[in-house]
Amino acid sequence: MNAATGIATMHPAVLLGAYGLDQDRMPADEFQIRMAAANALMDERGWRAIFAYGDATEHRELAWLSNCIPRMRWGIAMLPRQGAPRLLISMSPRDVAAMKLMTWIGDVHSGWTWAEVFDPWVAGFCAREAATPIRVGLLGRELMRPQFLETMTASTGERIALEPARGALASQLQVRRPRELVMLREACLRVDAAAEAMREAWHAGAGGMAAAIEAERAARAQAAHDVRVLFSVDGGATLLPFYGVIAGRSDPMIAYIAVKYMGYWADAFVTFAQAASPARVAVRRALDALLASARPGADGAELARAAKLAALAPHPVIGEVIGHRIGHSLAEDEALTASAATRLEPGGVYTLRAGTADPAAGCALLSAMIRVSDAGVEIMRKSD
Amino acid sequence: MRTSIERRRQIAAWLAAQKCDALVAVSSGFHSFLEPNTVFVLSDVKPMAPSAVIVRRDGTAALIITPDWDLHRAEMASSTESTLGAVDLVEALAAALKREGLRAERTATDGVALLPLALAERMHALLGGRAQAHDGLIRSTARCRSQDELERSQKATWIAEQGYQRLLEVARPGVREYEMVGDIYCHMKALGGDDNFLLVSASQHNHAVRAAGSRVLEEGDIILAEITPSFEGQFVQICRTVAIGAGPPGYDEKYAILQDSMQRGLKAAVPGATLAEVTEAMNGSLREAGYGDYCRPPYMRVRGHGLGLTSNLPGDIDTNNKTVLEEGMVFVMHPNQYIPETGYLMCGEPVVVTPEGARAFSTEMARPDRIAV
Repeated sequence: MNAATGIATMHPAVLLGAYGLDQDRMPADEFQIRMAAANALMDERGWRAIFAYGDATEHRELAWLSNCIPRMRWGIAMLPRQGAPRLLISMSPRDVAAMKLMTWIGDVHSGWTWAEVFDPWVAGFCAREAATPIRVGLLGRELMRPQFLETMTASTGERIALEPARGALASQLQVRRPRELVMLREACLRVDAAAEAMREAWHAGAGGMAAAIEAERAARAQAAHDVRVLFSVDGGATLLPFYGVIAGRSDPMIAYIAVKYMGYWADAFVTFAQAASPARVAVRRALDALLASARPGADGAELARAAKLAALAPHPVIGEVIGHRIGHSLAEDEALTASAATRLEPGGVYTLRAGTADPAAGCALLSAMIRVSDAGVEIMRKSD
Repeated sequence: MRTSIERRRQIAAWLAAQKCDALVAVSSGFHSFLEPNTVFVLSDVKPMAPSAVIVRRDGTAALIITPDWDLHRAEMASSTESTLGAVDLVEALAAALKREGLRAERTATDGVALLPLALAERMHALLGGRAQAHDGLIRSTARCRSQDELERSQKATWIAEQGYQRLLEVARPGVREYEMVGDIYCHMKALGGDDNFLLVSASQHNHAVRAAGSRVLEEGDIILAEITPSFEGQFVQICRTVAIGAGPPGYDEKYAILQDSMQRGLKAAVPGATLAEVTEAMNGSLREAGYGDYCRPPYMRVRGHGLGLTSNLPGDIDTNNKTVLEEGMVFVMHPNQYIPETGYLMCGEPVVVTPEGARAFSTEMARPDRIAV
């Protein structure tokens, strides 16, 4: 995630929620279509394979191509233009059976036995290909730890030219496919269920941390893959991750809730208060104006003008960022800001937000998720 | 004195010996329960995004935290003399090094090897390749827990045991794995377990523990639970096994082999012993019971391991690990084992090394539990 644009959350030690390849909802033909796009890219670039790397934090391209999302370390899919793909995951051999449930790729191995599983695959790949060096597109290079890249390049040697391919699949990833939209809508339902559980708990008298836990409980009860919650106990001026036991309750309560379901994120800013506040009224108006102005092709400046909170200070958690794409990552691609050239593009799913932390008016943060198509904008979810 | 300040003093002495003016310790914000987090160790702040601590030769330090809006939380928790919120870590670090007149060639680094390349390469460019990389320095410095850290480990163990009790209450035929795990995860979070490497799964004949799925619990299942909460940065782990119903034939008898292995391990883990020796002692129980051939993957992984976020030393309890145990080292000891007659069984406790051997933090040691149906 780009910390400058997305909302930073506390990364967990393991993605412990339910996740696997549900072929009823994400059928094999879906990945045939995606691999056809990858093959077309290989042909266009002269690559004979794509290596797609991802880790538990960021795995957009790896997940799109293989459906695999590492639970705690890394994974790499070797996808040749011709021949069988192989997936390596940094888990012990004992864990491979569980890892296989995440992907359509049949040839899955523990990455801990690198010399036994990467080197022989590369040897077979090189034997089939005539060129030297063989050009291979490398997705996710920026996510690798230095030693991983050193190990891989030591294995490939001069036989393979690894060409950084960051963004090469962007045009594919930015247009949400129908099966992806289904998952994103499911994620939206779960983030709204979490927000409702938080609201009920807070109105029943729970403190900030207890209400945040109720949100997480609601999402996990609905098979969330991952949940991130930030909450306030100071009226919304700052947002906190879970750490130890945090006492306190404030009015208003502001929170950020993100729920990942079957590999796809939905997120929400919510503000709860016992009584209407000038900040909340203004932010509600700003979000409504933002959504009204959202249309295919609208740029950040146009959206920023619509969402401008007259005479109120922006909330520091969102700063100048109006929104960004969301999906496999909490924040994808360039953010929408007044100064960026980024536009709402057909096929994209975005999260949009408005907020203030004003000394006089108080604090509020609200958000919505939209799907942009040639026909217009569909609101997928919106904070009350 | 706060442990992080004491550790910075040790680093300052090390800097003097190395003729370095400062250490730059960095973290990506990624957290692993098997790795140290250098920023956390030196500042008491668990970062959400890329962050760094600059430790000067006089032992004073500055924390640079991203995102900038997290500054208030960081300031409240940090033991450093100053705390700076930043939008971009590398830019803020560059400004700080320039402001303090710190030269790259007299600067040491730790943690760069754990960064993603996008950040590691920027760090490399910032320091011009002239800084001295000492990845593992903090890991070594923090290898023995302080009294304060031991108390937090004790609290984390209490949370883990409460989580297991909750599991015994909610696990019933008809409940899905993810429902059970979501409930006990939130239960432990409410007690202060802010993170949790929590793997809980069930089957009639397990081969390993895994993350919870959609499987519905049923009579005859054996639930495996690897419960690993963190309390204020100190991870611990308990490993438990519970049958729904009576359990398979030989359940108690086979589990007793693991309990015996645990007792041998506790006795063997004295200061001065190597982890290879501890492993041998633990494997002895399995060998004598006729399962020597199963003391290798995929029938088991290791007999235990270190725990972050402070230091994952002494590392894996494995026959190849020659690390010598020291008093105050903390790790999980778990003779988890696949047994052909019963499937995989889990038995593990977090321990601290004492002169008398390893002492478990747990109030109740693992046993072959059952849920009546």
